[in-house]
Amino acid sequence: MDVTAFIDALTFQAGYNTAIVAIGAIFLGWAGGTVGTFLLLRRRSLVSDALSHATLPGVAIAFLIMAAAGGTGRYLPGLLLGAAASALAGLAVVEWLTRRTRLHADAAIGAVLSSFFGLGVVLLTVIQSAQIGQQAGIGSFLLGSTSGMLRSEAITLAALAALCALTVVFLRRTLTLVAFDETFAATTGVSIRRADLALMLLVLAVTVTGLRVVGLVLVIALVIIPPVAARFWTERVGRMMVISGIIGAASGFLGTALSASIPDLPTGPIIVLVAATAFLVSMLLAPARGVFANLRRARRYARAFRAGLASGEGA
Amino acid sequence: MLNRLTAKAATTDALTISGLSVAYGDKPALNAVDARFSAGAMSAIVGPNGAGKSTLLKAAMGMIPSIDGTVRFLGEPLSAVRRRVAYVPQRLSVDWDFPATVIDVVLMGLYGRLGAFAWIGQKERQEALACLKEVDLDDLADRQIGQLSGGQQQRVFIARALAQNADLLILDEPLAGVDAATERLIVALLRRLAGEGRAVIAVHHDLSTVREYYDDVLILNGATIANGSVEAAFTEANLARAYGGRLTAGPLAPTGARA
Repeated sequence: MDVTAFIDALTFQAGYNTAIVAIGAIFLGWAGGTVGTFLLLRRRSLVSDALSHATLPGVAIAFLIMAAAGGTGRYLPGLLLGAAASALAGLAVVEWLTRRTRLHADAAIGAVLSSFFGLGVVLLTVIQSAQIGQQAGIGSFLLGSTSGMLRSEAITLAALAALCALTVVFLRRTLTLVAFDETFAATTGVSIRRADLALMLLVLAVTVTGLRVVGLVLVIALVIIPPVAARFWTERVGRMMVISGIIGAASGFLGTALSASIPDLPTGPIIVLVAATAFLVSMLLAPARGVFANLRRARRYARAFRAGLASGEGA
Repeated sequence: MLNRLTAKAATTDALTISGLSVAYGDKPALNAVDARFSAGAMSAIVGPNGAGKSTLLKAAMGMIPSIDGTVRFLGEPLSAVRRRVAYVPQRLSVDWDFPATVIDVVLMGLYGRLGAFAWIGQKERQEALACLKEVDLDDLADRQIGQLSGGQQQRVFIARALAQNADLLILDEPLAGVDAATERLIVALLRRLAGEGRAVIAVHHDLSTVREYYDDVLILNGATIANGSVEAAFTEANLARAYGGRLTAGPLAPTGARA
């Protein structure tokens, strides 16, 4: 690892493009952490897994269509649109399966995830073996990459991510109500279906936005790991949302800085590993619900209890 | 009997259910249920397991679709008077290991009035604290809800309903799994609300306390078995029809209190 390059990246000195990409990743992490908080509280974390894997056929089909129309097939907004469309289809199938059959959500998610991903891999292989369009880089949708990312792309991603995070901040009360007590929420006039749909669309937006940087295999980590880590630090939804956003943003920032200083490493896995480290630290050390804090409280109580007995209560 | 009720409806009916039918797929859950609940009274909904008590409440509130029938809250469709109706779900229907404090949950009762953006300030906190005081939980306002006992959790839910300041309170088993002291506190509070002219409707399980706690009763078993004042409707014969042979007369028998 190139330490100078890492420090340069951390201090935004590694060139304008690297800085822009880092800013994009910060916003992406913030959005993922913020949206993910409510996804976790609503117990829908795994839906995001189905959603991200279901983007692959859409990316491949969009590439094929754009290549057939005479382009290079690598126009990012077009690819993301395709990703969003097929993720939406995957989401609709999961929803339909759980409502119309007696399948539980986890089974429906597994079925949709693997079917869509299988289709996507087949299409991708076809594209690669048939030498259609300029396919170099299309594979980076699997694991993510920031190399060769255009400045305009990074700015678009940052703006999209910021928009998602802000939307969640505005919807937080409704989302909290539905996550905690949907029966009560329904009686106050909140439409559960609409609230869930809004949440899913936000997850979809974050997923599609993060696709290029983190890759579809790991993009769900952005919406799952930061809120899980944040939960160890607090007992309030509002704070959890903020802490989760901070953990996500820091992971995005550190991850892109690290990957800028280590050639040829995919960005996605590094961002995820940074987030996973934050999770590990939170789980062990967080004072509110961390493992050590719980142990310490239990031990202190037992000691005080025995001291109380010894000091004469028992006599 | 119908005529008498219709005449009364114009002024005091808080909830009127007519011909409400619900099915889960092709399995009938409620068959043309008729029921009326008065303002200023405390009403029990009783019936055996699977009688459709929770289903009736949820269908009336539009949370599950009904296949037929009409429901009027305070003489209007629910959508017109939603703010005047408070619902207390079963305590175990939520995950209490949720990142919220006691007062956070009570403040949820104010969301309907505050909307999505209004700031929650001192005034709202004081209001929520006053509701917590009613259920004797103001000391625990900042406690994480997962640390509460079952009875305390139930009281938090009731405080949230108080915050809604509704004219009609609907409670799904408010006394399930609470200790004797909590039961007394909750019943006294609900009776006071009814005394103020509000309507209180609760799904209730303990048949031996119906006479003591409630003014009116609906006995349900997929269909209306009886509905009216406890005096008139809560009879051995009606209970036997609802519960079948599973009831022994002993604990139910009208006690001396009735005479």
